[in-house]
Amino acid sequence: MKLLTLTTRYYLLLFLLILGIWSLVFYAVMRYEVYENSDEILLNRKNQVLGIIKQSREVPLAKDEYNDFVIHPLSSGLLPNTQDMYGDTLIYEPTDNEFDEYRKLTTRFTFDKKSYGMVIFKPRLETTEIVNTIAITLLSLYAVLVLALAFTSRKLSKKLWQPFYSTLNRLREYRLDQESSLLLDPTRIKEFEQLNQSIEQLTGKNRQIYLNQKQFIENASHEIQTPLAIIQSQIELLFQNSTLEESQSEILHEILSQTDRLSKLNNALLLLSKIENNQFFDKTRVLIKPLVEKILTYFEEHTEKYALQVSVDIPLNAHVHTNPMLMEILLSNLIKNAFVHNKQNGFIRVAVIEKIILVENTGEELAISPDTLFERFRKQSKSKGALGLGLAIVKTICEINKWKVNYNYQDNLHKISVQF
Amino acid sequence: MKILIVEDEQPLLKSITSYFSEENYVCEGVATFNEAIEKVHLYDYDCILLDITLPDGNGLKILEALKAQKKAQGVIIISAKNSLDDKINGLDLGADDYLTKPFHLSELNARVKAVIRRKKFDTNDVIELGNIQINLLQRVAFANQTPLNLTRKELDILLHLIANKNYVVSKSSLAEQLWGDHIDQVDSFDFLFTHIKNLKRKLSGASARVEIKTVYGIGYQLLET
Repeated sequence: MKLLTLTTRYYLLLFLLILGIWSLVFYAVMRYEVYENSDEILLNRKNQVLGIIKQSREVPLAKDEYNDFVIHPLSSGLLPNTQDMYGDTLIYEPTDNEFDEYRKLTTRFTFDKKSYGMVIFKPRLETTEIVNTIAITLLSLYAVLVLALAFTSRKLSKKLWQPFYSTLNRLREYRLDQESSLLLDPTRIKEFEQLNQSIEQLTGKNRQIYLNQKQFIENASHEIQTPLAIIQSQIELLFQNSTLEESQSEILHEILSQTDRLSKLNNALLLLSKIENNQFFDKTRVLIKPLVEKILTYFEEHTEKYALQVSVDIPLNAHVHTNPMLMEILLSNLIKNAFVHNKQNGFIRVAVIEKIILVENTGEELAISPDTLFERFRKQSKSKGALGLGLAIVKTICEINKWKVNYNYQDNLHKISVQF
Repeated sequence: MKILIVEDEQPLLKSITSYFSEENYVCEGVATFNEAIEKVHLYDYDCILLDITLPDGNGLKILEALKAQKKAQGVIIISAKNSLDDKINGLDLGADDYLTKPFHLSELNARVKAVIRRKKFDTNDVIELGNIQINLLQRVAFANQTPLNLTRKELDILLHLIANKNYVVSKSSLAEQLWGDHIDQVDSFDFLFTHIKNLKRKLSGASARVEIKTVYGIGYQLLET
């Protein structure tokens, strides 16, 4: 739930409570005023009637339908009680066939030494009407408040929260390895400004750490090249020595092989960091078919040895717009994989269907989880030469090009697809 | 042939120098930028091997100096950085080749020979050894005027071995020639063995006056007979 929706809800609940209490108070005040008013009218009427009696010296005992009072003689034994009594009563109104609410004043008076009782009636504002009035006014007020709040909160959420959402979007898109530093739009709102500052500091620090580590890997890789070059050249010099025994030669060649391997590993790591550094930015139109065919020539011996059936299913004009070197590395790694993880009399198919490069090959099911397949140093084969970086490189190349790479195992086939 | 080796790592400088000395090259080795500048001003070389990261200066400056003097010597850059920028800059400044550390000495040797051949005999694309002739443009090899019908890889092996005639060339170095990083070593040694076997058969079949000797555990050696 949005913060503003939540606050609006609380406000509306609060308003409801206030208006509820308010309506009770309002009702009490209204009712008091109505009664006060009716009673005053009744009292005035009483004085008026008594005045008329005094003047006309006659008590109008007969009940007049249109009169609003009734006078009846009281038995003489009773003492005149001049205290007025106000009360409510219902009177049937035949015209609209309902009972109307009236206020009545019961009083007594003495005239010509005779006691009389008098009841005066006056219609008054009915309770339901009071309640209705209050309900209508307050409910409409509440409705207006709800609408106003909803409207302002929507407007506000767009306007006030705009810096927040812009920060959020920038954060969502931010890639530590791709962008320089995170620069957020300045805002007048203090909290958001503080938030932005903290985020900028945090990302800045993280980026610095990331850059340092990357720099470290690069430097380390470069520094390793020279000692490797020295070892390699010294061994090659030793090879020229004709007095070497066979067992010594074998040891030396193993050392040389491992140096080669170390150097390849080092180069692969350097390559990864270079790709991540976006150092291969020159893009051109790369035709896929000739590239695949060229790469396949490196595997002629494999094809022959394992009696593999290799099929290439690529339209002549199939192409991608990317860096040619990266494209070659990508295809080479995928194809190499298809050869290495194959079996005797197996098959390999490299196809391009619309915007998907598909590499399929026979082979045993993975022993590792397919989810981790593209991670660094995840090796399936126990092959001595495998570095475990091939698919990590493939993935990085895909990421840099914003392509999708997928693996699945279906019908005894490993299938890797790259959607470009 | 005179070669200048500019390399600040002493052990590497030493091994390159001693490797090339066996080829009857005259090798001079220097370890600093200033020495190198002095040498190229004073003498002419057939080929210069240049490490561009030197303690007292950038090797690319030496290339600029050579260009300014209009000296037409072959230059091969040796760098620990496999940097595309360095490579492009270096080649722009007149370097003939670029080799990344670590490298096989046999590879360096082959490249030096290629550079010298290009500089000296601009139009000559034929390599001869004994009764073997290889046309580099058409990529065909003959022994006693009869075509050897070598496959592409067999020819590459032969060329690499001829460039390193009399040297023991390691299997690793040959494998790298043929497949680069594309396939793994373990497989490549097996495949290499088959290719060499076929190559030997074709050479002896045409009674070529060279012999490819297997040096147990290490690699192969091409000798003239």
